[in-house]
Amino acid sequence: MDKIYSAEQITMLAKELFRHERSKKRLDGWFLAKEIECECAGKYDSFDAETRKAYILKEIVSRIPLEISEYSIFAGTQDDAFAASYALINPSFKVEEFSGYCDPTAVFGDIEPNSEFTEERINKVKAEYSKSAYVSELTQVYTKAEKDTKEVAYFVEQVTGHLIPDFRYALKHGVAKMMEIAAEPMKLALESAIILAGRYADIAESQLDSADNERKKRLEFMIETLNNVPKKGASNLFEAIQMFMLLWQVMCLEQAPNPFAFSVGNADRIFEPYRNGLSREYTAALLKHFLVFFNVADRSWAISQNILVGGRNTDGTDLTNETSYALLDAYYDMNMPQPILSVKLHKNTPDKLYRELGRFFFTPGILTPSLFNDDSLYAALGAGGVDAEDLPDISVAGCQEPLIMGKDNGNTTNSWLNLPKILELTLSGGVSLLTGERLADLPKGNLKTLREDFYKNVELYASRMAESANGAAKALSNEKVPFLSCFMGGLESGIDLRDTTKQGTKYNGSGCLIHGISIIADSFIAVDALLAEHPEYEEKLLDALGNNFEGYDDIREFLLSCHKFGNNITDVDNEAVEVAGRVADIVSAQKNYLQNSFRPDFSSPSTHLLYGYWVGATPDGRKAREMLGYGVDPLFGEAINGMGFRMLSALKLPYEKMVGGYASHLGIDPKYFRADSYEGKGMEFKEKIVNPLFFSSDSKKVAPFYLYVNVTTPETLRKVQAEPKKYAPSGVYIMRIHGTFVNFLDLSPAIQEDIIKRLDPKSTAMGA
Amino acid sequence: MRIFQKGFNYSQDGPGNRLVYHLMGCNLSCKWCSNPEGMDIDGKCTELTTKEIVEEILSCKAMFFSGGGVTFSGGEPTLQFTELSELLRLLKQKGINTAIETNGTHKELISLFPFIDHLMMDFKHYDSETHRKWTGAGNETVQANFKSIAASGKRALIRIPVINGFNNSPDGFVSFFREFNVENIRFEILPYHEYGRVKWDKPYEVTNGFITKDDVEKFEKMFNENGLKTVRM
Repeated sequence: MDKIYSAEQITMLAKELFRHERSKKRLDGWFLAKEIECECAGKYDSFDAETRKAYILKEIVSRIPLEISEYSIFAGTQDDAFAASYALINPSFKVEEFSGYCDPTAVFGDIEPNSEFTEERINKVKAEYSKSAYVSELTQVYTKAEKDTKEVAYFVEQVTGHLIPDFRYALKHGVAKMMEIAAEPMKLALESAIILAGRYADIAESQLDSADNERKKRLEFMIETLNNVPKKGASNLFEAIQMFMLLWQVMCLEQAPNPFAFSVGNADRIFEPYRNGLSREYTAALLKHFLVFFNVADRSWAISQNILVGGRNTDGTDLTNETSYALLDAYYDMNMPQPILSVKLHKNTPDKLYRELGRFFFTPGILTPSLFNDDSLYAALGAGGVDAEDLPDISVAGCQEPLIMGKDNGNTTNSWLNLPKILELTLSGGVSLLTGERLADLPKGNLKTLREDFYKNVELYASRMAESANGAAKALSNEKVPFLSCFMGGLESGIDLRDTTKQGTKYNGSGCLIHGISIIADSFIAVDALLAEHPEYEEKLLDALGNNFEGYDDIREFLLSCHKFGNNITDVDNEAVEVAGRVADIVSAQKNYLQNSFRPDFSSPSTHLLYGYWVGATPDGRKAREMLGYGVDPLFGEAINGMGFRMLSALKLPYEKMVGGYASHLGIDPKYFRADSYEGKGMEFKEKIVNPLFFSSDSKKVAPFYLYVNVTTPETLRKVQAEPKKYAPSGVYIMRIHGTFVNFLDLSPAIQEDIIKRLDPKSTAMGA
Repeated sequence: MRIFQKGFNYSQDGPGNRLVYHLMGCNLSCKWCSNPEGMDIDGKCTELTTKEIVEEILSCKAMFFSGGGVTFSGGEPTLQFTELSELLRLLKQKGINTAIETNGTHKELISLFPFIDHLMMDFKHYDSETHRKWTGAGNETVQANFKSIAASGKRALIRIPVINGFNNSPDGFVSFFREFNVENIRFEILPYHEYGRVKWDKPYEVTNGFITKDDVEKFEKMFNENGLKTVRM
């Protein structure tokens, strides 16, 4: 291989390939896939649903137009599985116009009609698709839940993507071997990967004639590789990466359009066995092409694809390897909006890893990994029922939801619970404070019994939410996934992973993203203080909230002066612990379609903005339509005593109950890091941020296990906004918006403002 | 106790990450003071009992990394001497690393030594009259406390805020300090700054207080040549 390509050449090609990818303005492949599906639907009607889907997949893979770019050293793309849909990276996105991602036919609005893809052609496929059992059942679910979802007391969605396939068996033994043991529909589906490799080999073959000598050698090498994999197992890193891409491509096509947040797991461990002594530099060069693969078109529309490095074994030993460092090199040099990088840390993580991470945190505009505390994840998931042997394979689906690679169908974003909205409806007796519409028949709130009234309503809404979420999962189960199931335990069980009557994966659950714990805790404490110190306000509070405090400045001022979560103040911090714990218990008590628990996940992937827009003024003094707190973080502006106190509050939360994950963010001012090299700053980051948050606790309590940071200041980002050409000459300035990173310059103004606002420097000050 | 500000600070008010309490009230009125809001003992602040403070400090242990702990600063912490003394004693019993930043004007300062891990004391001027003119009080007690520190062998950091027009020459300091056993004493030269100027509601009287980098180096050079070890934090 090194005779055909030098490491420098591979890198140069990867950069050209990325440029080429970002120049793509149209994404039509998903539509073609849907069109093919419609065209051949009748042809396979006599088969069962799994087999029918497998045949359709084979048709799609056989017919979809393919190409090999002159810059490609590997064949494969996931462009044909994605549309230009994800709202947050669209500069015209407006918080007030957001209506969720739930309508599966809405995607047909994301393709611009032209002479080839005429309106008529698009509408025809859309109409056909609308008739499917999946779409009609899902529509019924949404119709039934409309009163609850209208102003987002809760929200549900069908979960596509959001899983971590285990390709290790396939990489080792090859697809042909898997086909020998797979059930019939899965066997058919697996064949798609071989068909795809064959088609790419043919394209490469056809390019030989017009290729110069150098390219000819490279194409011949590609053809040789495609003749081996994925049919046979991979025997070197080149083959392993090629095979991985083809499997990924088929997996995404099976769920087109928009299977967001499929994730890789520990890429360093997946590929290390195939490195065969390749140097770090050469390995990094090859992995750059692997990373480019995850970027789809002009804005990297396939979002939240997570790749992990690092982590520990069951005995506590570190599992970092040479490929971990090569992968970091590849990430740093390419600095692309996808795939997102996460690092698993633990007490025995070598300092070398922290030193090498310094450059990510402290180079402006460079991506930053999110951080996981593997020790805590072991404790939380172990207690949650994951077998010890599976704990090293804890991976991250999408933003921050921990799942076991290849064994866990967590339906991570199945349901979303908006606690501040439920508080609003508790206080008002079911009437929206924003619109005056009666959204539920609830008894009118009483401040003296507010807590118990609220929790009762949380139970009510959680149970309705679970019913709707299960409805969405059942609707989706009409769309079988025989290919993906092969990498999720289906090879052994023979069961489709979406089956709602038989469990095809070793672990199964449904996610519930819980929003707004800091607002609830702050509100309860403020109401206590109001009753004790200003009983004369009791009768006025609801009016004050309904009028968004207009004419009630005195009440708002008082509410704002009460204790707030995030400042290491005992009463309100304990309240937050109580809110998180009780709501987690209520959510865990809900059962999904297989009678497994819903998993409490305290994350808010920009939904703190979107749902906040639908919540009226709250008794903590927050005004109507303002954002909610992000994940488990204090509400913006309420933690004012610096990083130390904010971390101390964070350390108290019941992470052992957050088995579905949680989100937390710190905006860090680089001025507090004084070492004169990136390596030194990396160690300082360990000492000042990672150690106190993850590894300082001497109690038996489970420590925090997730963090993302943006190391910058509001002033710096204002400069980037004002003069993008000066501060981001490449056109790419990577920031994190939540679990995912994005090109800051691709974002809508509302999302840019959210990033700037949540840097919240007073909450993270580390010195006078 | 009366506290006007608290927060964590890394390696600036003692080693490691430290919880710094600024205690209300000061007996001096230095013209360059960067925390003028802490001068008036009757000013607006939070009141906590020593028990509450100890509880708060114990709840913060997770943040005392890299050899950190608690620092009492001001204002002037020794103005609340009885409570401070009790507090330091309790904290030492609990194994908390303690530090104080003082202007060195309290006569009983030496009695706190057993309970202080890191003593930081200002020594603003060697001449009592000049000291009085710029800070409102003479420096006899400061000198006496310095002598006690030297005699006891207590490790201490002596801080000299160097202000143009007030003390911008090392000679007098050096002649004073070199008479003593300074084995365990370190000196820090703090160049004048105006970070606190905006907080003054009375006229700010220092007109040209800034010194140059060369001035700082001149101080440090002369100190070190005379066996007075300087540090930069």
